[in-house]
Order: sequence, then structure tokens, then C-alpha cells
Amino acid sequence: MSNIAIITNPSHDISTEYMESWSEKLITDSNKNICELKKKEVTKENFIKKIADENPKLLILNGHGDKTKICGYNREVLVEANKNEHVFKDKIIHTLACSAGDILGPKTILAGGIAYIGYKENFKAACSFQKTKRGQQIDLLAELFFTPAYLVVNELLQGKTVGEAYQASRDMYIKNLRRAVAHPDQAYNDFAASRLFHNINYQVCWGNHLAKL
Amino acid sequence: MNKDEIIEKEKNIIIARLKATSSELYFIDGDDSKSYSKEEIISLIEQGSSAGLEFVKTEFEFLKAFKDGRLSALLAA
Repeated sequence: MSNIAIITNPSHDISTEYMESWSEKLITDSNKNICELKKKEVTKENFIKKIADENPKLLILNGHGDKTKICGYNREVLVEANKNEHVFKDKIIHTLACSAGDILGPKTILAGGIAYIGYKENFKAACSFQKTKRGQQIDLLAELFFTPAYLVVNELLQGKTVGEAYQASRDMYIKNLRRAVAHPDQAYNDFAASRLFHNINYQVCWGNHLAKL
Repeated sequence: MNKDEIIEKEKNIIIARLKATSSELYFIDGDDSKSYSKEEIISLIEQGSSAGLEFVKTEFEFLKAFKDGRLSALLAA
């Protein structure tokens, strides 16, 4: 059976390790056929080849980025606006990468991408700096951020439309913001809350909201 | 109060709030490859580094939204 999605997990620093831990917990347990590129496998060459070989409809990119690009292992650029955004043609893309939703997101749609969900400013989170995968997966501070972020992907994999998946994620962000604001610990009601608010403000969804996998 | 004085005041408020937090707390901030401990963030803010100022900006966007009612509106939705 062909893979429905490709996920990139460069995991070369603490931010991308947390992304891998939570995407593994929340997405790759979904019983769907998902092809994963991990660590040193996340190169531009491998990524482009895997898209051509698997032709999945969904691309899940975890990594660093900026307004115009998304990176792989050790910040090798995978996709960059005005250079190779055409690789996103006919795809639904979810990125947990800073700021790429600002310029690369809309450019993706202009290049024939179906939809793009990501962040037009830095993605921010708080955590208790766990070093093991299991520790990261049960980090209660991190959970506030990564659960709504990856809900988009889970909803898509369950057959929801892009618009429904995006809204579900936003609803969970707001629910978690309520939890943080009401929390007795200042770490939550101040610093986690401000970061959740930031992510809510800058999460974007471009393209066809009615599309689904 | 000029702009520099306002920024200085904002920095001092955030540092005081960070110091009042007893929890072990690290921040994953955007495109940085590392997470910052509370103490590291305080030091970055005091130095006026871009990472420190970015941190202050995020906190003040939130406090502003709290003050002008946008936060309440969002939470009530």
C-alpha cells in the first residue's frame, strides 16, 4: 500500500527533537501509512526523491525555517520560495517550522499546492527540557503546544477537511490557553500563556479549506 | 518617557516576573537551535540581545492583549 504522507524529522537539536517526540506520539501512532525521513536522511535530495517515489498527498515538515524556506537536517534547505516551491504542487502541507507561512505558504498555493498550514512568525513553546524521548512526550508544558500543533495532521488523517483541521487546532490552542491562564503556577499562566497566544495569532491556513486527503 | 525608557521598563517587568517563577522552565524560541533556561533568558534580556528583546516583545504582546480586551474576547469565543 502506498504512503499517504511523508514526515520529516531532522532532530538535530532540542527544538526538532521535541517535534519528533510529539509527532511520533501524536501522528505516527495513527495506523496510517506514513513514510518518515529521520535525522541525516532529511536532505533536499532525499526529500524530493521520496515525494516523486511515493507521491503522497500530505507532507508534514518538522524543522527550522524562515519566511521563505523550510530546512532539514543541520538546516539544509529543502524548499525555498521562488526556487523550488513547485514540489508542493497538488499537496497539502503542514509545517512546524518558523515563519515559512508568511511567504513560502502563499507562494506554495500560487505554485499549485492544495493547502498550506503553518506559522507566519516564529513557533514558540515552553518545556521542562527533558532529554529522553519518553520524557519529552510526557512533558506537561510542551504538551500545551505540541498537541494543538499536530492536531491539524491528525484531523486530516481522520478525513477532515483542511478548514476543519485548522479550526480544530485553533480550538485546542484556545482551550489550552484557558488552561494556562487559569493555572496556579506562574510558569503556565504567564509564560506559557503568552506563547500560546503568540502561536494562535500567527498560525495560518492558505489554499483550499474544503480539500481533504 | 521615550522609547528606550519604555523598553527598559518592559525589560525590568519581564525580568521580575521571570525571577518570581519557581518552576523549572525552558523556552523553545523560534528558529533557535537551543532552548533557553529562565536564567539564560534573563541574561539575554539584560544584555539587550535580539533573542532577549524577542522574548520581551512576546510577553508584551500578550499583556497588551490582556489590557485591551482581545485576550478575554478570544477566551470567551
